[in-house]
Amino acid sequence: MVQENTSKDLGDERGHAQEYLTYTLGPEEYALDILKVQEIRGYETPTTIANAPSFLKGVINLRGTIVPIVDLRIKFNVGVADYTPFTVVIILNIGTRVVGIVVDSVSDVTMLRQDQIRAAPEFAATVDTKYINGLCTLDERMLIVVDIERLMLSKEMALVDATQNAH
Amino acid sequence: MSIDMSQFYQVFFEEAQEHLDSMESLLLNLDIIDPDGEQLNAIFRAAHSIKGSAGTFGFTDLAEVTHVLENLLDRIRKGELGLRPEMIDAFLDAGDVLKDLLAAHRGDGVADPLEVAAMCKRLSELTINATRATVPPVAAKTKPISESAALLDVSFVLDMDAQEATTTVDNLIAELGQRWTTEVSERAVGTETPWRLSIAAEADQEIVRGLLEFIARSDSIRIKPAGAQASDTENCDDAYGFFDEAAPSAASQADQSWGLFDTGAAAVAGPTPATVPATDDSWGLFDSDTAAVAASVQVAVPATDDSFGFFVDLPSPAAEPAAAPAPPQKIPVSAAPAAKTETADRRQNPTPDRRSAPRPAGGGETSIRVDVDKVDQLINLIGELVITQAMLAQSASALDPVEFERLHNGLGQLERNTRDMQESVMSIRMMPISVVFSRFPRVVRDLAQKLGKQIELKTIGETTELDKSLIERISDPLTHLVRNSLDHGIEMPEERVAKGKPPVGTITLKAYHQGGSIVIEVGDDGAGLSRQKILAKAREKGMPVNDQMSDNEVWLLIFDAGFSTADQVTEVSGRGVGMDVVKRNITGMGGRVEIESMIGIGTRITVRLPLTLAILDGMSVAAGKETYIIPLGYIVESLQAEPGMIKSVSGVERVIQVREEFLPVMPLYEMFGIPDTITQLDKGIMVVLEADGAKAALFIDALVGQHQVVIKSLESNYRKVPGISGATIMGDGHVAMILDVSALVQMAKSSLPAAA
Repeated sequence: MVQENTSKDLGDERGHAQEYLTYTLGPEEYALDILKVQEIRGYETPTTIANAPSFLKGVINLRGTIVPIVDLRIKFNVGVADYTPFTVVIILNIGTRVVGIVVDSVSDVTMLRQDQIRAAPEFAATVDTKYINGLCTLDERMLIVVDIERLMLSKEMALVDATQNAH
Repeated sequence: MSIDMSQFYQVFFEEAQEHLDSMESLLLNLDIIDPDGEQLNAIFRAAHSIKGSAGTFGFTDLAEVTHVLENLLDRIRKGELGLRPEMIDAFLDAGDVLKDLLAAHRGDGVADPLEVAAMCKRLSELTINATRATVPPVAAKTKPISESAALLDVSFVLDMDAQEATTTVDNLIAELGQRWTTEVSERAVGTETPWRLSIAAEADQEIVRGLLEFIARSDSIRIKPAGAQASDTENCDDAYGFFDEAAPSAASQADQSWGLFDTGAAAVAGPTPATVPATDDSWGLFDSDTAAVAASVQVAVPATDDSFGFFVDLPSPAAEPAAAPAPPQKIPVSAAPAAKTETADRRQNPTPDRRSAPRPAGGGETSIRVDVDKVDQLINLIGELVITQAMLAQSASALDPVEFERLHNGLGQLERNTRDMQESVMSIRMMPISVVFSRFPRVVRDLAQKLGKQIELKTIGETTELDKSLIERISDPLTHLVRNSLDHGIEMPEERVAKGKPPVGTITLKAYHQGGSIVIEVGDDGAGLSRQKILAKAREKGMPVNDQMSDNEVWLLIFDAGFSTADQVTEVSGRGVGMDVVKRNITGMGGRVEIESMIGIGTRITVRLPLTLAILDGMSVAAGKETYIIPLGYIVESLQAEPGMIKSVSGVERVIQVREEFLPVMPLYEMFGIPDTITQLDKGIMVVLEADGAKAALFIDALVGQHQVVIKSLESNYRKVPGISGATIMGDGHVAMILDVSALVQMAKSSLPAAA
C-alpha cells in the first residue's frame, strides 16, 4: 500500500518520471510498475496443481516460499507457450502476496512521466481495458501500461479465494 | 515526570490475566472447611498484585474491586473470618467481573460500572457481615482505643493535581459516606496541605485506608481516634504505609518483589527470631505497641513490599528451589495456572506455573516474553534450514564417501545440529496442556451446580506439552466434550445411587504422548451411550444406518450435524450443534476422534492430535511425474491389488475388496488429472486411507518414502485447492502437495453413493 501511494505521488508531479518494466506478450508491448517487481528469474518447471486452470502452471519453491506461476501467454492466448532456457518469469509483489508471471520476453526499464500516459480508448486488446491504466508512445513503440495489481487480484485470474477478493 | 504507561499495558493485561487464572484455580481447589493457609496466601497475593499494578496503571475500577476482595481475603487468611461457601462464589464472580473489566480495558467489550459497584458492595458486605458475626481477637484489641472516641480522625495529603482533586475527593467522601458517617473537618487549600475527615468510629480502618490510597500519598495517611494520643499508631502507620506504598511501585515487577520477600523473610528470620513469636501478625502489630520491631524490620527488609507477610511467617508457597529455607511447594500442579510464557524453554522449566510463582531475588529473570510472530519466524527459518540441509545431503550422497570424507562428516554434523536446533525451536512453542485443563474445574463446578449433579474432575498428565497454536484451538472442542459428558454422561446423584454407583460422578481428563501425536481423553463414569437410542434417532433423522453397523460407527454418528439424543434440550447441550463442530475443529487440526462407550460404565472420547501444526509425518507417493504427501496418520495400509480384488459397480466406478471390506477406489490420476500414470488398477499401489470413520483406497503409482515435512500454506500466495491441504518443499527443492485425506475420502463418498 505504501508503495502504491509513493508511486502515485511521484506520478502526480509532471516532471517526475516513474520507472516501468516493459515486457512483450505476442506482438504487444506492455509496461508495469517496477515497484511491484521483486525479481526476474528463469523458468523452472513448477509443481502442477490439481484441477487448476491451464494458465496456472503450478507453484515453485522460491527460497522457501510457495509461489504460484501464471503463464500470461496462455491466459491471453498470445505468443507461443513453450519453455526454453530463455523463458523468463517476473516475480511480482502484489500486496502481501508473491506471484510469478511468465511472459514472452522482458525488454527494458523505461522512465515514463504521468503526462505521457494517455487514457486508453475502448479497444480490443488482449488484456481487458479495465486492467489498463493507459497507453504510451515511446520512439514509435506503443506501450500498454497495465494495472498489474488489479489484474492479478481479479476474479478471472482465480489466484485469490473469492472471500479474500474483497480487500 | 511523565512516562507513557500505555507501553506497559500489554504486560499488565497478561500478568493480570495470569493472576486471575491462578486465583480461580486456587479458589476451586480450596477446602472450605479447612482451608490451606498457603493457598489462601497465594490467592491473596494474586489479588494484591492485580490491585497494585492496576493502581499503577490507573485502572481504578480494577483496583477498587481487587482492593475490596483483598481486604476480605486478608481477613480470611489470618483466621479473622471463617471461610464460607458463598464467599468462594463471591470470589469467583469477582474474578469474572475483573476479567470483564480487563477485557474492557483491552478494548474488547464494555465494562458495566453497575456490575463493578454491585460486586464491591457484595464483597464489602461479606467483610462487614462477617466482622459483626465473629468478633475476631485482633478486633477485640482494637476496640478499647476506638470505642473511647466516637470519631476517627483521618488526615491525608492528595497525590494528584489540584484540578482533579476536588471531584475525586468528593467521590471518595461520597463513597465513604455510603458506609459510615463521614464529615470533612478541614478542606485542603493546595496540594501540599492535608485534608482532614471525621468518620464514625465503627468504620473499618483498613477499608478507609484502602480507599484513601487511591488518591492520597500513602505515607501521608493518618487514621487515629479523634483526640487520642497518636504516637503508637503513627509509628505503625509508617510500617504499614511502607508496605502499601511499595506495592504499587513494585507492581510491574510484582513477581520479583514477591520473590524478594521470600528470601528476605528467610534471611531476616535468622537475626530476629525472638521478635517473631511476639507478634502474631503485622495487623496485630498495628495495634500493639511493638512499633520498635516494625522499625527494625523496615531496615532489615528494605526490599520487601509486604512487610506484614514476614510476621505472619508465611510458608512461602510455590517457593523455588533457590529459596531453600522455605518449605517446598505444596500447590498441586493441577491448581497451577500454567501461565508459563510460550518462550520458556521446557527443559529448563519443568513447572508449568513458573511465571506466576514467586522467584527468588538472586535468580533474576528466567523467562522472557517474546512476540509469537518472532517465534514463528524463527520456526520458519529453521524449516528452511532443514530443507537446505536435506538438499545438501542429497547432493553429497552422489559423491564418493572416501574421497569426500571430510565433507560427509561435516554434513553429518550439520544434520545433527539442525535436527537438535529444530527440536529446541519447536519446543519454544510447546506449552503444557494444563493451560487448557486449568479452565475445566470452573466449568465443571458451575455446570454441576446448575444441573444439580455431583462431579469430581480428575486431570492426569497436565504437563504434557503441545504446540501453542493447537492449545488455542483445542480448548473449545474440549470444553464441548466436557460439558457434554457432564450433561449427558453423568447421571443425577439419586440415579447413580440406584445403579449402585457412588453419587459423585467422575470426569477424567487425561493427556499423554503416543508416538508422534498427543492423545487427550475425556472420560466419564456415567450412563454410557445407548446404541438403540442413537440408531433410532439416526433413523428418525433419515440417516443411512443399519443394525449391522459396528459400535464404533454408531458412536461416531453423534458427531453428525444436528444430532442429539438428549431427551430434553437443556441450556448446556442438546441442541445438536457442538459435537459436529468439535469433530470439524479436531479434524481441521489434523486430529482424530474416537469414542469408546459401555452402557452403565461410562464413555471415553479420545482425541488424537499431531504434536504440532508446522511439521507433519508423511508418506510421499508418486503419481506420474508428480510427488504427493499423504499424512501418515490417515494411512491404514498399502497393498498391491490382485486382479480378483477389483470389482466394478455399475460398470464404471470400482471398488476393491480388502479382506472382508469393500472399499471405494479413488484413482488419484483421475481425481487430479495427472498425465502419464499407471491406469491399470492391479499394477499400481492401493493406499487404504481412513478419515472420518470412512475408508477408501487411493490408487497411486508407487510409494516413495516416509518423511517429516514442513507444512507450507498454499493460501498465503494462492488459494485453497480442493483435495490439497498444503504444500511442502522436498529435499531436492521441489514443491510437493500434501493431500487433504478427509476431503478426498469425502469426494469418494459423494461420487460413490452406492458403494458407501
